[in-house]
Amino acid sequence: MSLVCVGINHQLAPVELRERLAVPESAVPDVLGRITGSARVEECVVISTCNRVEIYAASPRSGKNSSEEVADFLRQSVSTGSPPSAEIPLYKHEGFEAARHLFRVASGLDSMVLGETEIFGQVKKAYALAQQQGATQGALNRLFQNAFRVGKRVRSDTDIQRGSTSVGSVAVDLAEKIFGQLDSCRVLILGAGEISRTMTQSLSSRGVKSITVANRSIEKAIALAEPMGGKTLSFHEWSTSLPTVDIVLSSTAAEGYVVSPEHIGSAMHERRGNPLFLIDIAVPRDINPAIGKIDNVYLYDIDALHDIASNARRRREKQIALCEEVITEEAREFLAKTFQDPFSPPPAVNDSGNKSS
Amino acid sequence: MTHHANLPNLYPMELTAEIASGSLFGALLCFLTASALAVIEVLRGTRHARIPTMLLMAGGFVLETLYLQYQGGMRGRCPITTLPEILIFLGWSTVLIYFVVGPTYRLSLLGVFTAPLMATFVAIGLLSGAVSQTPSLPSSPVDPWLETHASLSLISYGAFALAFVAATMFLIQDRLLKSKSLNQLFYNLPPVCYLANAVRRLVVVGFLLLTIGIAAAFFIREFPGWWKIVLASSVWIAYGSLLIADLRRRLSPGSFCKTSLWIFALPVITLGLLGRR
Repeated sequence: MSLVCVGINHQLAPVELRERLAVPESAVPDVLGRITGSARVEECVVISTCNRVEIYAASPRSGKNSSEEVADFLRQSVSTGSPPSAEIPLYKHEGFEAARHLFRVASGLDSMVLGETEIFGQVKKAYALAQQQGATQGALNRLFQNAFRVGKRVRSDTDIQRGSTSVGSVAVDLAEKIFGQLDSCRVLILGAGEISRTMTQSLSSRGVKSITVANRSIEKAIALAEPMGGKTLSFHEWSTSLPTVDIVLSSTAAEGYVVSPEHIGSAMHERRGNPLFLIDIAVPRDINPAIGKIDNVYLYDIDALHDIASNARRRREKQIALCEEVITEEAREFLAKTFQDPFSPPPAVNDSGNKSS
Repeated sequence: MTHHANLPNLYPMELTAEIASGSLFGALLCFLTASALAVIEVLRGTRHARIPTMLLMAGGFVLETLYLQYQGGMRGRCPITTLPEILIFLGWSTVLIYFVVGPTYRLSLLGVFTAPLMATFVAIGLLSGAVSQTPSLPSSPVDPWLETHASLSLISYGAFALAFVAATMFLIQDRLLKSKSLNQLFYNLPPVCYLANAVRRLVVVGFLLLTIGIAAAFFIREFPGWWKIVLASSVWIAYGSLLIADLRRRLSPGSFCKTSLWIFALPVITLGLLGRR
């Protein structure tokens, strides 16, 4: 029995190339049928996302021929363009390396944003589709089930997922550390630019339901508020809603401070002890930094959010060695239990968790 | 035979001084291990020890209950007559309230922060000779009003102790948020709103229990002495004033927590004086 993985990802090729190889979901059953119809391949799973196109195949014979066959298949399915399909770079992993690669992918180690979780769901979906089509049997079933277990283990046993790496997610994480669940939080948006839209979407995705947008141009305010079921407010009235909102997100184009300590000071009297979270993503800043000293008010500007995101990225990078150690150990165990792979013996692991060869 | 001949044996097994000492020692080990897990959790920034911590806290609670059963048998009354007994009873009350409050407010780290306090209570109890070797039963019949007063007052102190722990957690998390220092501890601590709510509710629970305890004192046969009345009243007035101020002006969570930290000194002083009587 052999196991191969052939594919292309964001590290190997730009999006122009990846999109030529992409397999739309509707075409996956056909691709699975054509690959498993070959004499050399018995089982197959196709993972096609914006960052990668990968085919995992298992066959009863040695892996080299089947990996070439899968690579040829991928190249032949490519639409015309430059470079010619024969020159498209593809990686080919076999045996231990194929298992290790899938474990890395499922753990988010091969992702553009290190440790991200979306890929885990995408791999699960790809596997479920292959299963539905009858394209998986014993070998790939065991491989993917192990990959899901390893993905969960890596995320729970290491800090690879800890802390958000984008400004929007950092702001939402902070809101959750102040209020807990966000479904009862009310948000006031000052300014209706693109960054406000992105941040509001992040807040909405974590449960925020009450959104009020105040903008100088009421049309822009409506355009931002309506798709999210929010309300609009005349810009000169924004401060009247301060006693009743929990989060203020400000990104106006004003040249001076829009929110002053007096605004917040008087609103805090009416808030009856409820905390207020202020997010200032405008440059120049909209919110007077002196407000951050007021009791029960938490103020974060764009630099503070960027710093937190950068720290999280650095922390994740420091976790890579630990994750690789877990993945290599798991891949070796998986191979030892499942396959007798003649040409790709699992390499020994030294004390630091790196392969010795 | 450790039980007095006139007392019915309500225990499923014969409790001896050795078992009581062993139980206390076991409880100390449970709380110390939970404390060590707390340090590891905070340093590593992980949250794997939630279930082990709960089990260790539960184990410590059961072992303390065994000790209190034994000591109650030796005293022929609620075992809160000496400082070591009071401290262990206070620790037991705190863990009891922790099990009621912790899961309700998803305060996963409350146990982790409570464990060191519990370990301290039990350690002092063990070192001060908390386990009686011979029975010392009361010469006159036990006054049920006195027992109600003393036990409810101490359980209320358990709630105040837990409010102290939650207030400390709130102030740490508030400081981390204000200073934008998002370290491992920040990610492990609960949201500030949950902590602020827990502190308020714990103070309310403690205040209600203390009120009933003080009301029971009016029915005690023997006059307890003015100094005891002054001590108990000062705790009641301090927490009552805090709650009234909060009700009228709705204090900020930070002010409420800081004040409750300072007020907790009063129950601690009260216990110290009671223990030296």
